[in-house]
Amino acid sequence: MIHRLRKKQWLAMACIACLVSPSVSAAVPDLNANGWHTWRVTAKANASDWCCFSWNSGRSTRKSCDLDGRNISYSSSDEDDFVVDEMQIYAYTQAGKVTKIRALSARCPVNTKTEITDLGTVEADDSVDWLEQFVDPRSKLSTHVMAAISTHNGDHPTDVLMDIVRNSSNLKSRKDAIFWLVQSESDQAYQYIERLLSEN
Amino acid sequence: MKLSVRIIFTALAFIAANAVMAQASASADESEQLKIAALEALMSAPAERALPIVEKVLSGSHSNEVKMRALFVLSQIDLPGAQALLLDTAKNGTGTFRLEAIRMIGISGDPAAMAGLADIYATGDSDAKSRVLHAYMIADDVDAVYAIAANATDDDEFENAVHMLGIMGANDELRNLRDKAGNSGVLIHAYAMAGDVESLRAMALDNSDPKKQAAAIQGLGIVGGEEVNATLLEIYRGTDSEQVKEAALHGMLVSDYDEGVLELFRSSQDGKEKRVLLRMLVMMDSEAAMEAIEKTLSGGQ
Repeated sequence: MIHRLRKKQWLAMACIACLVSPSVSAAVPDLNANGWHTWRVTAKANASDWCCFSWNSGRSTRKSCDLDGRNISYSSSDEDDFVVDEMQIYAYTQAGKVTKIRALSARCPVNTKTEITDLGTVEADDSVDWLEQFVDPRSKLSTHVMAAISTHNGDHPTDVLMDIVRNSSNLKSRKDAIFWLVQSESDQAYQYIERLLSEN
Repeated sequence: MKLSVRIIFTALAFIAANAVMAQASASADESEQLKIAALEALMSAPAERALPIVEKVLSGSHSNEVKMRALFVLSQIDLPGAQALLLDTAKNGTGTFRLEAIRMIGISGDPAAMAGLADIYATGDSDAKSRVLHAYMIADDVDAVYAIAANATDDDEFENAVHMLGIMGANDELRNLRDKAGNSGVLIHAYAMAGDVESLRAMALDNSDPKKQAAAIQGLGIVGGEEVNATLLEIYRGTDSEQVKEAALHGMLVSDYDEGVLELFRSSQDGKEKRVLLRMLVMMDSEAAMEAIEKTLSGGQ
């Protein structure tokens, strides 16, 4: 079920967790329409509350993330060890091409210049499969995609990231995949890192 | 003809072998880079999970670069076990690996590991001692460096520690060492590095030891600044000693105080002195020098 949110430009979006789209899609549908699309996935265990923060005198304050901004830095407040169950994936399509991908905690407020198409909830593995297509060839999406993949629940994200380390033709992507494997904190990922470091 | 074919085959085989070797080398290089990327990634991992992996890397057979990176990651792991391993490597490791471990203790700044540096200094060779001083500098442990300087048993040891105190800007500690031994040269240099104008000024105005005075004057030049420039001018004008005047001029050269030299040039009535000052202005390559030369040539001064 696709639920379209209509908002005036530059109006802050409501908390994403409040969106009404209870259905679970088997896969991410084709994103033909231009603009932002979003879907929720089950987060990995102990997923951090990824959002945007402003820093002042060493103290962080949660703020709304500007999806249209050039960069979003993924961070979670040190003072707030909040663990989230769901992640919200955002993808921006322009002329039939995905040009931006972001992953934030489902409770993180966002704002955009344009409306966001909510695709509801998607199975984590299907979301990972959809995201994986943007890793290679290397582009400005690659790092964001790997970051997003690492937040998904299950073994599949780890498998995909390990596959990137083993088989990507791009060294930077391989390094990024290693970083996000460690961030995934899965036992499988750590075993893999240990093996990688024990190779002669 | 046969020879040409053989040469061609040899050349092709050589090229192919080189290509294979280059590929193998690139692959080995990538493997190293991935290991380093993995170690760097572990810095953002929970300490309890990162430590066992880093320990294995340190005890395994890896390149120096990988092991050095592992040492750095180890220094960033805030667990007693990690700091104990770092200290153990600093004490019992070998070669550059051991020296790097000493430096990493300074980077970590862990109090328990830092406390172990004193023993490493006491029993170590000159390389180890030098690294311990660097570690103290990195950790900004002025007290430890001062203790080494104050208790130094030979000139080298004293000089190295004083030099480090100068780098650390430890003015009070350096002043406390003023009466220590007769090694004023290194102290003056350290005062200059620490920017201690007050100590340098006192020594620069003290004409009981012309050599020491000249060194202090030059030290002032290294520090530079308006206050120093005024002092250099005062010293130059207040002495009849050629050696002190020369040191003051040299100080002005180092502090790039061409206005002061020009002022001396204009006020001087001594032809020989004027030539010396003019030469100095030329050396300083200043606009003021050009102006002075023009006036001199046109008979202005």
